[in-house]
Amino acid sequence: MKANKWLNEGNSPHEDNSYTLRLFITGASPNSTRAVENLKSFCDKYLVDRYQLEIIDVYQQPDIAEKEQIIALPLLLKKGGGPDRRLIGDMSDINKLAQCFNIDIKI
Amino acid sequence: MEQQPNYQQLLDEIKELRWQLEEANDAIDAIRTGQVDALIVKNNDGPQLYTLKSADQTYRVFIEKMNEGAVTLNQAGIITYSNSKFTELLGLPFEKVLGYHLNDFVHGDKAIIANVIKTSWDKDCKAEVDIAGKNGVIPCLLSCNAMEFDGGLALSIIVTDLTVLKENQKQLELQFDQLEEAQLLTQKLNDELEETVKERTKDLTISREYLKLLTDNIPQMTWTNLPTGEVTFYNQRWYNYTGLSHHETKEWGWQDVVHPDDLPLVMERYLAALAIGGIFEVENRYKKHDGTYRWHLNRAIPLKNEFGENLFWVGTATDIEEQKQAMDKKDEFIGIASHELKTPLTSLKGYIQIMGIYKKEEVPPAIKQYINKASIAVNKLQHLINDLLDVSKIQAGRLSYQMKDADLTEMVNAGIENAIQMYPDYQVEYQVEPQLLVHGNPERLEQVLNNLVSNAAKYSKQHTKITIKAQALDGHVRVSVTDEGIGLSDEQREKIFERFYRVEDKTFTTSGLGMGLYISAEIIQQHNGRIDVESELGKGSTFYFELPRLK
Repeated sequence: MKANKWLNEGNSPHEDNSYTLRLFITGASPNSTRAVENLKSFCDKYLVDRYQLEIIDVYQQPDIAEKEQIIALPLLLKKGGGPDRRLIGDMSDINKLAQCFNIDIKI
Repeated sequence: MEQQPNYQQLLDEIKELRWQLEEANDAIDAIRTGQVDALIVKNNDGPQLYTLKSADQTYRVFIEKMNEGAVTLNQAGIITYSNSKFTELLGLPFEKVLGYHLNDFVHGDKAIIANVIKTSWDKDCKAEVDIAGKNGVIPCLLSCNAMEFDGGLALSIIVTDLTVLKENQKQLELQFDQLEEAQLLTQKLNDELEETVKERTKDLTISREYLKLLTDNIPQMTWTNLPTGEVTFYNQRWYNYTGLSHHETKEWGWQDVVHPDDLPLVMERYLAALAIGGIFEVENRYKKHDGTYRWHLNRAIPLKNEFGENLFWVGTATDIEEQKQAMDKKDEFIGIASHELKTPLTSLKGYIQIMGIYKKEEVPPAIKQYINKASIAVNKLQHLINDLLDVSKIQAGRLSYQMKDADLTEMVNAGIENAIQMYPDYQVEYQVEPQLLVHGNPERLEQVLNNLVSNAAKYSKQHTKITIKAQALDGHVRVSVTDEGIGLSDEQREKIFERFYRVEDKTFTTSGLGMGLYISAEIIQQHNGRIDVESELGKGSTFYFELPRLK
């Protein structure tokens, strides 16, 4: 599987509750901008020191995007800490994000 | 047989499928709620990125707000898009821009822009063109990029207004021109300066050449010497005369050329002049290349810098051999003549004296008067002849007389009496200290005093004052004669004690041969004394001599 392959290529092996995140965006488009903001604020709040985040602009790096079977953008790809998860949109739904990371949050 | 999945496996599978379903729903939901900016669709050419409406809003804003004009052209060169900056540059509304040919807005030659656009379809290119703007011609830079556009081709052009740039460039060029002008001016000044320097150098060279020509061709030998005494330069005359080289005579080499008998006096005068920074003057013999000696008069004057320091002396040596010989001949003649004159004069004087005392017969009064006058004339003549004899003796170094301790006071008093008798038309005043003892010859010293008094009377008007003083002065005795006569200039003062020098003055018809002061100076010198004069032209003079006083 492509996901596994990509995982093995990673520089450091994942511990149980550490995540590797890739956010695919399309330049400075409105949802992409919002997605970057929302995801950063979520991670800083709930995943302190437990994540690595790469932001990839598909305009600039179309090759990487091609490998990942992307349909719509912005797209978050989560690896590690349970099954791989994908989330499309501007990352404004905190509950969805929490589900994605399989963590409990109280609002 | 394929093994049936167990219950747990089925549950996991269901769970995973639920997840995937949820992800799919979420994706659709995201698309529906406008959270998606782009879709990637795979077709035969591979994945294609489709940006959704409003997603390129950011770029629109960019392009609208940027300071450059942006337009797209279709393949016919028609403007299909223009940002507001471009329409602003043109000063036209959008509807007058979109759909028009870009050439319509180019000022001047359309061929250039046509060519640029033609080229741009193949490769990116840039060109400067003039756009016909609202306020006249605007110089612009066009950056053209061909791009694929939904399968079709379009040309994107960024239009940069170069007005400010050009203006700056123009200013820069202007400043550069000014700079160049200033540089030219500087260059010109520099050239002028160089020209002046060249001219001066030429002048200098000419004046050096001129000087060399002058110094080499005057009949005198010339030299320059340093304040330390070393000679640095001789003219050609010197080398011609001495037959020696510069190397042989430079610095102190000239000493070998001076007659050995003259060298001590020369050195004394030379060193004295160097020490006080004064004029050097001496007569001496220089050895000629043929081994003979000729008399020369040397005279060197110091050249001072702006601070009054002596830089060097410039000296000349004038050949006075012929004058010397003439002088010697004259002396010889004077010696012989005065001697030959003396014998008949003595007998003449004797006969006149006899006539004066003739008693045998009565002599008429007129004859007596004649005899008296003849006696005075003979005395004068004898006086002159004695002077001439003295001079020739001095020249021959044979002027000698007995010296003894004597009271100068007596001698001076006798002189004063004589003066009062001789010059009744003058106001003779005197001031004599007693007991002024000196070692000398009273007759000769009286001769000196009488000479000074006679000069005082000779060069002043009648009824003026003649003051005779004799006083003790710090181990010396000074005898002075002051008149209110015509006085002496500096030049005259320097020469007054020379042989045969006479002060010429239009208001006084003077008599005498100009030997008096020469003889006086000689006499005083033999007494180890000093004779000199203080004088102011037109006010009068004080001649005085000083002798060592005996205790």
